Amino acid sequence: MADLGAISLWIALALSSYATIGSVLGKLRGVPALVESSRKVVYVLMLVMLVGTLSLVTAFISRDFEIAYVAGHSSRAMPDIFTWVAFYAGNEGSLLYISFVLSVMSAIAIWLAPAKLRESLPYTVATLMLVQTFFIAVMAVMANPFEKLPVVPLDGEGINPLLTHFGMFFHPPALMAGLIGITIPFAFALGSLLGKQTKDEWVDVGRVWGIITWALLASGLLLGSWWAYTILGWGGFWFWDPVENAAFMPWLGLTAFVHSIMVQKRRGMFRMWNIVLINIAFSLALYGMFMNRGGPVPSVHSFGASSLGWIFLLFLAVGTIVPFAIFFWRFNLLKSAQNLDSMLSREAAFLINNLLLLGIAFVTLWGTVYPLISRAVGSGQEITVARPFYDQVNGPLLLALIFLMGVGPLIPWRRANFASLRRSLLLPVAFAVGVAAVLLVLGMRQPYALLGFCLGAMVAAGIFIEWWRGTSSRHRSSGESYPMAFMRLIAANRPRYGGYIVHLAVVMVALGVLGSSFFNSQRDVVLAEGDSAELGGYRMEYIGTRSIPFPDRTEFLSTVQVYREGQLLETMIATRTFYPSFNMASTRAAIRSTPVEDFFVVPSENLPDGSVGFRILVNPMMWWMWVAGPVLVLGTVIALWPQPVRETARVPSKVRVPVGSTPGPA
Amino acid sequence: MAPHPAPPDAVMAIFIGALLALLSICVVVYPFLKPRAVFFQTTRPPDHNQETLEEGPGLETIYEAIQTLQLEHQLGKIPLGLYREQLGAYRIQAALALRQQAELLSQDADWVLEQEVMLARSSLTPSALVISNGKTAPCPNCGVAIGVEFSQCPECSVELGSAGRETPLN
Repeated sequence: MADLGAISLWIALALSSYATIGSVLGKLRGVPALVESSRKVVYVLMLVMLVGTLSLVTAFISRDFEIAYVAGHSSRAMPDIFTWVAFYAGNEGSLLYISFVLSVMSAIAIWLAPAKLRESLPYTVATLMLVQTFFIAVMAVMANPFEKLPVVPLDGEGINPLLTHFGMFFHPPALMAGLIGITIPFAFALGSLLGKQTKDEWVDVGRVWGIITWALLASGLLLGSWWAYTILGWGGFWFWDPVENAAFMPWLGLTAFVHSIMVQKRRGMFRMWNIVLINIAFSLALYGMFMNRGGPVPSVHSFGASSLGWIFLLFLAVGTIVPFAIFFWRFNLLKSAQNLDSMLSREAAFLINNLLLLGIAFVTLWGTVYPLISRAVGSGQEITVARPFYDQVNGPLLLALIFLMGVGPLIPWRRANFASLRRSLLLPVAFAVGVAAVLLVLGMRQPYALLGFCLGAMVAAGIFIEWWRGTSSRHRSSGESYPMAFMRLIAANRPRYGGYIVHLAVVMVALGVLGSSFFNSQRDVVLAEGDSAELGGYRMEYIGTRSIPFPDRTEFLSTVQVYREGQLLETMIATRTFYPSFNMASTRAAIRSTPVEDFFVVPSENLPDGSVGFRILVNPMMWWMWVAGPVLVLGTVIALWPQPVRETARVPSKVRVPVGSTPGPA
Repeated sequence: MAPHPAPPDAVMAIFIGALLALLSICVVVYPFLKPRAVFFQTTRPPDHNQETLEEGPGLETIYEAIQTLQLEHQLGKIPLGLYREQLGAYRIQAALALRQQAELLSQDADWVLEQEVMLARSSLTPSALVISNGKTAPCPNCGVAIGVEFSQCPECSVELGSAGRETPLN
């Protein structure tokens, strides 16, 4: 398998290099056959990368320890189910995964590219293949996943214990696919600049791929938070870790892009801005990959010490400077078709939303690179930026963003007047004020939390009121039943209401963040068998621990019973596993999750006398955060679901002769 | 220590690798060997309906914008005066887009010829397709050009109200 994998890598490198050069040369020299040949290579490349990927998967399944990567990330004791995780557990395998995903996405994107992009498509192909060439070249020369060991070991080192979690099946692949997926809308944007198709030709395809990659990144971030919450043992889900931030920033850039591109689609505006946004998102994605592999900051999310840092830094520099240089080169062709009619319009709301998102991205970037700058400038002394900085600076910006999420959809396109806006805002604001009053009565006094809940309520109310009005309007006019009217309302306006569902998911995430940030309570206790501890109205009784030895680990399963008001709610098992070969322990929290709050218990230490150190937390509203994931995916699918083609809006270019007409002399 | 894998693995790898290489070479070379005429036939012709107009959004986008405008008016977000004003602006945009599209189509010699053939055939046939005053418009359902005065499409039998029909092309 090592030989086949290596051969497929070299063939892939030759193909991607050929497609890069052939596309550009064919276009510049006017050789259609060369352009065609380069385009078709994209499809073959996908097949070759598939062979390479399957070679590594097969090597893992057969535990082929002749391959250094397989020996370093698996062992005979590793359950087969984790083969998929082990595949991308290290730098080399994750590069192969990224390359394979890019090849699949490129093939689909080029295959589905609309005919109107003919002039720019060769440049799009060249851009995609250039990025692909970089990754394959890095693998072939610097981080070959098929490199053989001189002596084959009897067993491998095993998979990193932190990766043996259900979330790992989806979190890294979704995040890596999202990061590399940004290349697709970026390539179409760059292709349109180089091919001088600088109007709105690329907008539809850019929007679709922008939303797909946005959803992948969002799902990856949410799943990563869930993984951190359940396995890292500290009871939180986001640490503002530099590598976490590196994945969060491209998501912010893409969020701005998927909003802004709608303005270009609808009004032919923001042409320059959208190119800038997708360039920024691409640069931030490259920055994320640089931080992840051999970056300067150690993190639980990075691949540890690696010699790849400088090459990714170089790629980041080129991938940032060159697209912006091309943008300035074509600047004069990017004039918008129309101007902003009014600052009180949906377009203006999108613009402010974009500025806020970029503001948050900039603050996060500054906080991420500041330790490096301080280390370089300040005689080697590093000043770290921790959570309080992000909370204080990003917190108000995020609240402003939620406010805009509530107001923006209520403002019509082109122009609104204050009277109509006041009418639209009346009910959502009244509902938000009602929520504030209830929370005040219940004793909530934290102003940020109060504001956050009110804004969330306003957004949700705005959405539900619009759905209610639309549904009842359909019910009145067409006599449809309410459920049918609602379904048809959504189906008739998929991008709009798909977006609203995504907004609801964001509100749900905000609920979880606010609840767990402002109202969580925590206790660290050491309990002997039969002891109990109380927190937040719960009483937890420690029943006992049993240990189960495995060839590669020993699991300690601690059983606890949770009571509330004297009534047994649940018997839970929290796990702590020790891996001797890694000299590392991993934990698996026991969580009783309800829409109101989570009761979270994790064993932090098993003491020799049989007692156990527990961390107990009560995290309000966390449930909403995890439920937001499927809602977000649902909203994205609805937004992307194709609308039926409206024949009435088309004029046939060729008139068909109707059946039954008598053929006459032509 | 375990022995190295048996040689058949390497043979299989070389065989599959050679197949991949051969396939790649075929795909690379094939467009150069194709007869020129065939190459141009397989290249998709531009579809005028899909063309984006030089300035401003296309017909489909304007249609969507009007639909959104109507929805927002129904939901009470846009007062009547503003609604009428914006609807008027979109209609003008749509009319300009239609005119530009019609110009693009009329520049297509094949299309003009087909139109003439169609008209000639229709003039020889006392069928429902006879077109008074020579004015036709496409059926919104099947796309067949039919006289503007018909209330039902003779091709697909769909009811043709005045709302669904577009501006006559000729």
